[in-house]
Amino acid sequence: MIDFWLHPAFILIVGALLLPIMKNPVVRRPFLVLVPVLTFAQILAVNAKPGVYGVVSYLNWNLTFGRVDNLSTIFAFIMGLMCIIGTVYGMHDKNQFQHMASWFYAAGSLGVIYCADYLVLFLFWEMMSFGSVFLIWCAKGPKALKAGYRYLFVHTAGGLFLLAGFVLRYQATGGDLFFGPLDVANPQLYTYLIAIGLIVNAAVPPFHSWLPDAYAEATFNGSVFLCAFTTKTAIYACIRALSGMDLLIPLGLVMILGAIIYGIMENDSRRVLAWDIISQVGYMVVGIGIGTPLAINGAAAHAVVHILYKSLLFMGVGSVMYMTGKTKLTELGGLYKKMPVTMFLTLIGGLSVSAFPLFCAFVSKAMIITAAMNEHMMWTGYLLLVGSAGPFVYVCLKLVYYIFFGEECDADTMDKAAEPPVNMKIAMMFGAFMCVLVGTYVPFLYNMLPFQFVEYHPYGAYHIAETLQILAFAGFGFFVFRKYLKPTDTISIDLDWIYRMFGRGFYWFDKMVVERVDTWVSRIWDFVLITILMQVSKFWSWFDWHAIDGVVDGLARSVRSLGGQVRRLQSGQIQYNIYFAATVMAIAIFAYAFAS
Amino acid sequence: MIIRLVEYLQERLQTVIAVCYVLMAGLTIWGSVVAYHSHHTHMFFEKWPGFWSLFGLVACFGLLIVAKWLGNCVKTREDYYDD
Repeated sequence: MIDFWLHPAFILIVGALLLPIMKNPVVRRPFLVLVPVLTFAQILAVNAKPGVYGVVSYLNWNLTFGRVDNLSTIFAFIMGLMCIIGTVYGMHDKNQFQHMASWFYAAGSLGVIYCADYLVLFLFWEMMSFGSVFLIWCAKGPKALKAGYRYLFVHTAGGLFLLAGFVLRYQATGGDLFFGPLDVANPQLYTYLIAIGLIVNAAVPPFHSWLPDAYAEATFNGSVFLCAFTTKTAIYACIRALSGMDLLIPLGLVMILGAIIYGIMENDSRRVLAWDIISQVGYMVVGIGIGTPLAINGAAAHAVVHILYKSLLFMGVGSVMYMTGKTKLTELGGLYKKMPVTMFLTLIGGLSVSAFPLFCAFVSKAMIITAAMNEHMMWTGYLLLVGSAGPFVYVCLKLVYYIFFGEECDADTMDKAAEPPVNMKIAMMFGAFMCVLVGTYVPFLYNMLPFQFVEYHPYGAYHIAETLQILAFAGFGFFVFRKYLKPTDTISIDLDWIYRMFGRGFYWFDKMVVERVDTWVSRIWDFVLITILMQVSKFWSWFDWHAIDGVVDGLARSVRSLGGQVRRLQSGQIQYNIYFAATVMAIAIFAYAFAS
Repeated sequence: MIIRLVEYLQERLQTVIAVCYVLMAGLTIWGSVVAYHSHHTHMFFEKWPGFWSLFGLVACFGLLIVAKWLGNCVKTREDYYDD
């Protein structure tokens, strides 16, 4: 029997490579569905047989591409599903390059999820970075180009931290490349380096600014992929390596509350959602920091539901952008009349992110809060509950209200507004269905969680009452404060100011200092060295003219003069020739006679 | 159908608001009763009547006030990075 293990990412990579030859829409469209569906089927097949597969010997290392266990299966499942949803959503897009980038990106994510050593992790980690940046660049335009470069800069820096960390660890441990739990109780330099490398992708402060910067500039369907893969793959890697690292708890709390505050201030609809990604990923980071089985279950469950509702929200906002070309809340409003189905489906995403009972986040977020309370981290627990009021206010109410209700947008935008193409609606409906399915049929999600021995029942009366009261009165707070929440044509300065200004400062330094020094050096060169060189050259010119040429010319003049004399002697008359010859011979004979 | 439902509710906005207030009051009473009898509370003050309602309101106000205050410090024009 041949022991052959087909990596699901391989199907996506081959599909991406074959895609450019599928030019005919009749062939391309089924192919765009077939490849992610086959990948998902292979994920299900792989997940059914836990174990270690795909071990490849390279130099002195055994590289492991296939570690199938309780943690990798749930993450691979949701990534595979998301790949289908995202591809169907953008299926009508004729930009083949974008579909290829999406599939390479998703393949990178699956590669990270199934790998078991740092070398393979790094390979797929970088594949994700380079696949995803094209989803931003495909939006075209100078803003997308710049945002893409900033995105790549941050992720390359993060990748280098990861590389430095695992190389140091390899050295310190005598050749261990295994990607597993790090000793977070006794952290070494390499632990922190690996941690930084991983949390850059999870958008943990102070490395978070790339996320709203990049996701708001991506294409309408690119942001649907982006919102799902990078941060949640990083969360998977953090669960794998950093569970129980205390430092992650305060960092996660800063993410949750800080991102809510920035989300409230934001005007661009996709940036609002991007801030909400940071906020919700904050819950997962806190869960990883707590590190108990319930907290890890909560982090994994919240990652799954977050992918479902956040992709739904990005699809809703992406539909508005696709149809109207607008993303700013100040330029939108009253669209429910033209896009009622999109409004309804986006609202389901909003209710899901708010963790309303019967919607998906209700069954996941509370696990992390309960885990904090069970560990007697009361402040953490209550701050997590403060954070749970936020999404309802700025996503479900503010975003949905100012896009679909509120003051009607201008006539031109209103004319353009209409329901999106059918494939986009199908993807959104499926996403909404999944949000409700996971929220209502709890075993669907809970049977996939990494720690099956942990019991948790979300639909207790106390939990429902607590959640509904918080949400209802947070909504009341929005109602009272709504005139202060009106979006404004502004952006908010964030920590990306540092590297943006560093780049600008570097440019200024180059222009004002380096360029000037270069000019002065050129002038000094011209003034001092060229002058000296000219004088030296003049001297040698004079010397050449008067000395060398004098000698040579003098010699020539002497030869010419002598030649002239000789010429006179050769008159051609025989008597003169005999006379000169006899004279010379007589002189010679006399000279010889006297000399001897 | 969705448009008609939205317009139906918009035409009766005052009634919708009144229903919401009644629901909030009912929810607070029910939540207080549940909390009083529940053994899932984490701290003693969670049993206080209307604790989670007040918690939601204060949390929302707190976040909005901080956002408003911080907005005065960090909000700037949209083309700030363009030049």
